Amino acid sequence: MRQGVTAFRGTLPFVVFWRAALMLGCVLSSVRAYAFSDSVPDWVREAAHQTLPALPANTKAVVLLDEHTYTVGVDGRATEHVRNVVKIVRPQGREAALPLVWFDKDSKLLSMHVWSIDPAGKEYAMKDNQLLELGHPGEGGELYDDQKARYAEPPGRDPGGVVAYEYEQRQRPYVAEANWFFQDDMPRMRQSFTLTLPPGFSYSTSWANHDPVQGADLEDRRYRWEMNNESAIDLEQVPLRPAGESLSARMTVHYAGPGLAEPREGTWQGVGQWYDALARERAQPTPEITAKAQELIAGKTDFYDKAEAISDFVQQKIRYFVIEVGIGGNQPHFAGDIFKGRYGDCKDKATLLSAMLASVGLHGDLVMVDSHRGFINPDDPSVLGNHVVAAIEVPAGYNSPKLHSVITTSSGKRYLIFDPTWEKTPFGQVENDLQGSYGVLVEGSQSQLIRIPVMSPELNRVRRSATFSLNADGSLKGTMTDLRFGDIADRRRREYMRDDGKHQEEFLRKVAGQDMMAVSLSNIKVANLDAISEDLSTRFDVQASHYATATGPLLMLRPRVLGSYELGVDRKPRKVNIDLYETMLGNDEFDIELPEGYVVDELPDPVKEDFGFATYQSSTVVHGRTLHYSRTYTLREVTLPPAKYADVQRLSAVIGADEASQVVLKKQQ
Amino acid sequence: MTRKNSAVVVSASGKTLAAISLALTMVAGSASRASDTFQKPTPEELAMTSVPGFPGASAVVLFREETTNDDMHSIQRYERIKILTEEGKQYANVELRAYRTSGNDSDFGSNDEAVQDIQGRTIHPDGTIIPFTGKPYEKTLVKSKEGKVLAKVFTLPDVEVGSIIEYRYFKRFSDAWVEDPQWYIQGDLYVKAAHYVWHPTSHDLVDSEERPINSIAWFPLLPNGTSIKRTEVPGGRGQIYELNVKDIPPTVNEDYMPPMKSYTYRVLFSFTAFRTQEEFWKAQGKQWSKRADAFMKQNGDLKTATEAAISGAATPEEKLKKIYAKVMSLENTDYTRERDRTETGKVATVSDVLSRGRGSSTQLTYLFVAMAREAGLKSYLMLTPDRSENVFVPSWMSMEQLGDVIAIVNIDGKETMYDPGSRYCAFGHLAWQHMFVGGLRQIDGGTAFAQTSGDGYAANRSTRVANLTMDEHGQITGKIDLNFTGAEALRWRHVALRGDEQSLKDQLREMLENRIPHSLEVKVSSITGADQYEQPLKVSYDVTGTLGTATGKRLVMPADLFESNSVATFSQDKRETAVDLHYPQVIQDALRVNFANGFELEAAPKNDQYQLPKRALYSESVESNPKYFVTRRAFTTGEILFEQKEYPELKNFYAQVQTKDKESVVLKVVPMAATTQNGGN
Repeated sequence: MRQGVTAFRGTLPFVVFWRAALMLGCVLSSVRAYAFSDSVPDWVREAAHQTLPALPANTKAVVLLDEHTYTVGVDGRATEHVRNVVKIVRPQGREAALPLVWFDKDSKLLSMHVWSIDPAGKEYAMKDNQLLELGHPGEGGELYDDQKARYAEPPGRDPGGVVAYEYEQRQRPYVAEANWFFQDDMPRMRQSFTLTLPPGFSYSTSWANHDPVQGADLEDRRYRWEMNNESAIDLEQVPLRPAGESLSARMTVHYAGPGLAEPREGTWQGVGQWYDALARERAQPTPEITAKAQELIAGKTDFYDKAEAISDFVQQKIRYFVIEVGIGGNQPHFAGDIFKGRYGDCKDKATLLSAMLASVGLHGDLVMVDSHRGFINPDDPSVLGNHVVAAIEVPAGYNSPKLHSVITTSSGKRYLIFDPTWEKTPFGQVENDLQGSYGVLVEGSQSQLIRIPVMSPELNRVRRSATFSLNADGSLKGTMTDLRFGDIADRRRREYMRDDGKHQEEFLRKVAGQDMMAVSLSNIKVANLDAISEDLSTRFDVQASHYATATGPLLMLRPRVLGSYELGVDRKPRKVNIDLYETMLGNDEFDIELPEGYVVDELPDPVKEDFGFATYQSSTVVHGRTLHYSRTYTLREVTLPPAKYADVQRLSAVIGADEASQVVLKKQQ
Repeated sequence: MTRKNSAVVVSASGKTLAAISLALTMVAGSASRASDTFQKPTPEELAMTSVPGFPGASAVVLFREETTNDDMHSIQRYERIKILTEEGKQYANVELRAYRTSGNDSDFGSNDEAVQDIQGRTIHPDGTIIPFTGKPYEKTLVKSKEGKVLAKVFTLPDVEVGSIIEYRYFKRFSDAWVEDPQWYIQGDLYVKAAHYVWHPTSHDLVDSEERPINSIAWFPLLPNGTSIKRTEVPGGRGQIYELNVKDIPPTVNEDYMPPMKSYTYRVLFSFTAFRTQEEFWKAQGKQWSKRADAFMKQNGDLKTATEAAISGAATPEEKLKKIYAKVMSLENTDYTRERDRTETGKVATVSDVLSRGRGSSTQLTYLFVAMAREAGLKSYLMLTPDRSENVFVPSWMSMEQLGDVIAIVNIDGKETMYDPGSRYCAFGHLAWQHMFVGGLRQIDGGTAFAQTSGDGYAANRSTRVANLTMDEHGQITGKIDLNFTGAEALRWRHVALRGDEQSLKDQLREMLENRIPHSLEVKVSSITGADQYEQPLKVSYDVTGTLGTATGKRLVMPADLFESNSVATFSQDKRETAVDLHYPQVIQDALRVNFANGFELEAAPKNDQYQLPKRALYSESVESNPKYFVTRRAFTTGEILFEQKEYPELKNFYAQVQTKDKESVVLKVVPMAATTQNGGN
């Protein structure tokens, strides 16, 4: 439900938003005449005609020039001027050549110009009225956002073609920070960032995924950084890949001076204090909020029970629904308004939760996070992020085995991290894509960077059990129960809730169809669909003709009847971290009654492998005429360094081999 | 459930799709508010928790009403939805779109629309009513110099599972426009009841060609027993059209569906200057044909190019082949370029296509026909639908159905169809998207409906051959060769055109990786014939890795390599729509595994053959030898369309085939004979 949300809304040129443009643009399409022009600026031509080094074969497009000039006025308001030139190398690079700049009333776009040079060298200058303006399409609950984008589809976007744009934009008045992204999925040739400050202003820089570089002093408080020939981070063919955002190099400039109320001094504490000033007053409880909170905790004395009751209410009863206007992209709505309308976005839900907790004597804060694990980088204090969750203070001395996503601050306070927007993660835990990542606890002068804990595998588990009987003709029938708890149940719950019961059946048939060719399911029973603190239970009867295959006197069957834990890996050298997505515990226990007239001739060898970050064990044994297959898979980490890739490959091979293993039955003579 | 699908045309006193020729006077005051009040929920509606027959449905439309009033220049819509699950709460978020021309932020321009008078409320299961009192937000979705698409957005308050949400609004148009309604009756949700009304204008109208409008036509696709009701307005002021529907199921979405998406329940009205379907298609066909012929007009450039192309050809067929080759040698920009809007309008004739050396699919087809005519061959164009999207229904009076064009050439009294707009389609064949469909063709002196031809399975052939060697350690090396002709070859050729060599290699590798066991690594070693449309497309791979599952004293290997990862094609027990397999084809596989000392064949699947008489045929055989085994598989589908009632038989057939595909060859691991080791003592 959560869709690219709130804490910061930056202007990232060339963000691909073209689908929406095409979808809606067709309504407006008409014959357009582009100006054939000799007015393409010299800086575009110069960039276009530069000699390129040998590029990797998979390069789709290359950034020839990316120039940022960031000028802070005496009143602290900043303006950024950007020049960007992209060359399309392969047909797939066309998407990289669609200029798009976001703006709103607080980040006004003062000018934007677009040019292009087609592969034959013909030059084009787009007129102002040929640029489109796009609004947020309003999907996934983001119904209203006053941000708009100026967008262009310049002609000549074919391999060999060049697209250039230039714009000038006011920066938000309440964000005294500039972010320079100088690495992405394209090679980047010539890049610079120039900072101009007025008298009395100072600055500091922080860096993510790059060693700090001292800017050249151009005098008169002008400073310049250059980053030329940056290589691309191409993750397209990388399995188990981390978020590209977590690897890309960037620089953050923090500046301070007269008129800027909240100097952040390039610290995480400063970032938290900045957001605290925006959000704190919004979390004031109203009488209605207090009444509801008291109603929810009525009769409860335990901290966990109280916090759970209120959190469940905000998680389940407040609809995710985004309305952002100006600073509203960063600032929550008032808790009273959120409660009254029963809707809000992530920062609104976290704010209402904080207000409700406060109204009954508990304490909650906001935590600024990003759903791309690793994007928030400890080395680079910044307001960057796309999501807000809640931190519920755990009373001193209180302990409960049900508190899992608990962090301890530098001052010794403990907080339970909880995301009221993520509707399918049980209270006490936090969703898997935030685990192992960093966030900013927003608590006034106590604000600080925290690391969100990785959950125990036992909290994210799947347990399959089944009893089957096999006939001599190879057909199999039986009953299977699938129990899921934690985020691993999330997809199933969403699938089951989508459309109607027919879709549910269809989904399960497709899952079974991965492992059996001629399968039919019946008596499907799903329990605890909405009860996220309970196991999601799916029980069904299964019948598969020709499950076991007869080859001569042999009858062979796969004891691992349904379900897979196989990891998708490749055989290439690994250069980037491995993202395993989630910790988990999987356990399968299958009994298969064997047909009369056959004896077991061969069983798969037992498997027991421990890689530290994961263990896998499996065994197939015979008790009388019953075959028993048992396996347990435990995954304990969400990310691993590249050096561990050989172990991941080995783990994948072990699982794959076990899942394909066969029991050989032989006809009795 | 059956559908009626014939267009109905009746005379009317005069209506228009286009601008009204007279300035119309708005009836004083706003549209009637008499029906604005919301319905009182019944106890059954409040207590409702599910839809019979659709367990788990997220929401249900209790009632929908749409009233189009031309003389009021408005459409009034009313939605009444019961929320049944958490997922259903999404229907409380409402976005209503309208179009506005530029420069008319405050004024209501001649082409503008506006969404007005939004009212809404939420009713809880206990009957509590929470009115929507907020103000809808207005946002711009797209803005260009031609205009902008706006949306009014709002969310209904305090919605919970069990709530009934309802809202109504007016969509208004300028005085210069009237609307012929499009009633899309079937959608994502079950509809218990809906009521549609249209009050057409009684003013005199003309169409975009300045022809007087004298009829209203409609294309109904409705459940049995449902029909449009027409009521005469007293005083000879035209008619009112009305439709009541009940219990409309949600749209069906199944794998291998025929192109059904254009054929959900609906009624599409149109003002028309034509009195009959025949009149419509005759006039529209004539207009299209005239424009096409103008584009194909003969001149010196065309003549010179044609003469050069057919130089040395002795027979009409040879001439046509050479013309086809010439057209195929030109760049088809539909595959290679972004839409080249900078030069729109500069391509007025086929000579322009020739001089540029490139053109769109349509332009290249026109060029082919023009050159064939220049060469003295009777040649025609034919408009077709894209069968992957829709089929042609003549009773729906809309040229929008016919988006593609093919060529028909008469050689020695026999007409053959060609597809020069599908680059690298083999001579004398069509892309599958154009096979077996109805369309509109040129004939001498006019146009007529026609049916396209189609290939048999032999024209669409894929062969997949793996030749592998396994050493004593179980390591596999070898080659895999894929050969494609027909539809599959054309698909890959278009992938090549749209991308580049690298992307083609990547996609061909991924395609094979997804088919064979993951324990094998493949690398594309060569691709030939990507631009030779009369030759098979050949792809070769180098293969390394391991194959099969070791059980201790045995190695169990897949009998067919290329179906190792296949999943059940038809898993559902019941089917609601027909099955469309797109095109007939034959797939032939061969797997040869040579094995080293240390392995011995213990058992292999028995040879089998299955068939759906006259429709599909499957066979698999294994030839074994102490040192190798060879598996041969052939799967032919001769028919492509299976009715719903034939589904069980089809499903069983596929289950048989796919089960057979999963059978194994069993190798026994035998102790190696003692060998003399060198070195050491």
